[in-house]
Amino acid sequence: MMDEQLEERASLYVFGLLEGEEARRFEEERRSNPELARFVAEMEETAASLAHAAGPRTPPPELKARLLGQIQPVVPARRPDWLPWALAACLALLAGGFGMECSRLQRQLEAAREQDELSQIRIATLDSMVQGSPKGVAVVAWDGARQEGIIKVQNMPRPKADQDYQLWVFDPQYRLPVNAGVFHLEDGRASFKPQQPVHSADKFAVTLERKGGEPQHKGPVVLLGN
Amino acid sequence: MSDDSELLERIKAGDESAFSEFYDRMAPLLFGLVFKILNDAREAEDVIQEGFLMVWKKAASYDSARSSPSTWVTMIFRHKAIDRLRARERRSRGMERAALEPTACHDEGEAVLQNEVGAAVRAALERLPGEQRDAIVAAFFSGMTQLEISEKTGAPLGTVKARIRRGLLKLREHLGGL
Repeated sequence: MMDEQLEERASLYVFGLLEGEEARRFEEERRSNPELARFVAEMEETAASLAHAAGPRTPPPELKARLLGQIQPVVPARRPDWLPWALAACLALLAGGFGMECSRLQRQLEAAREQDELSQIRIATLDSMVQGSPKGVAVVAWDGARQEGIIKVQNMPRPKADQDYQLWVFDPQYRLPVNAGVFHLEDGRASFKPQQPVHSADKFAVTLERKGGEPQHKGPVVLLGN
Repeated sequence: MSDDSELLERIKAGDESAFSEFYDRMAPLLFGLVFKILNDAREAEDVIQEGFLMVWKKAASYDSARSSPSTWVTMIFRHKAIDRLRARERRSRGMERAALEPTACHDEGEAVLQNEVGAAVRAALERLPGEQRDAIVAAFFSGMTQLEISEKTGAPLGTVKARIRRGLLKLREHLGGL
């Protein structure tokens, strides 16, 4: 038999109203107390039924079409974790990529794809959007399945002390570019992870923003490409 | 016709037709829910898209011993919508809406579909004492913390907690075998 205090915490828990340490302790208790676990499950079923009170609403048909276009075959769990190796291989390509003709880089990429080594890696070259010399340039290696990538830049001046370079991903599913974070130029490359799921990375851009970056781009675009 | 649990099992195995059927069954309920929380059709569409992609990728994490498929997805989508509501810093508007329109169906020119379950849940909510109903609706739809609900309603924190507990227990009783 549960006391009222425990029932109260369970009720708050199902609404996500327990925070921090209190939530953690309740989770532990729930795992070790089958009666409490059953009570929480019942309360969750009751709470979830409240969704019906909002009234059903039909989503636009194109939303389903978009979703079905985005789902990919499930990767078997036993597949080896090849990402670090593949990204390393990608970087090896990129290390010499700046001096190459783009077509040569693409041919190398296609050859690698045929071996299924980089099949999920997308390469984008970014060109300078600003006047002056030397021209900045960047290459992005993007893994859509893992939602992470690496950017390598060259000939980019150091930003002022109160500024940072910030990377953005253009995905047609979103009205605004997706924030992929600020990066620093110490060794000319940086890894990134966009803050929203990217379904189709059509373009990449680098802007110059205030230190720490902006949630939405405000500063000038200095690099752009796909 | 497959039941929801069977559909989730097939989705786990990468069956796109099962995903399509599961979407058709769940999307109206979930779109209605996230729209009520966010009051913004575009943002609600984003949440639906992200949420169903998560269902596709994480179906294997569904535990049938812990909840029904409907409860599992409802709590996932609610959580995502509330995260977004908090992130966009329009919480105060959300609070007003949820507190003022506890059981209202938005329509905004668009016909709102009614169903028996929705009517039963709304009726069950109506049977709760007003202060318990308000506390439950604020807790589920607004994204407010316990303290914010307390400040909003002017009731002491302990009273808010007690109202949520009593309201949820009564709601379970009223919904019976729904």
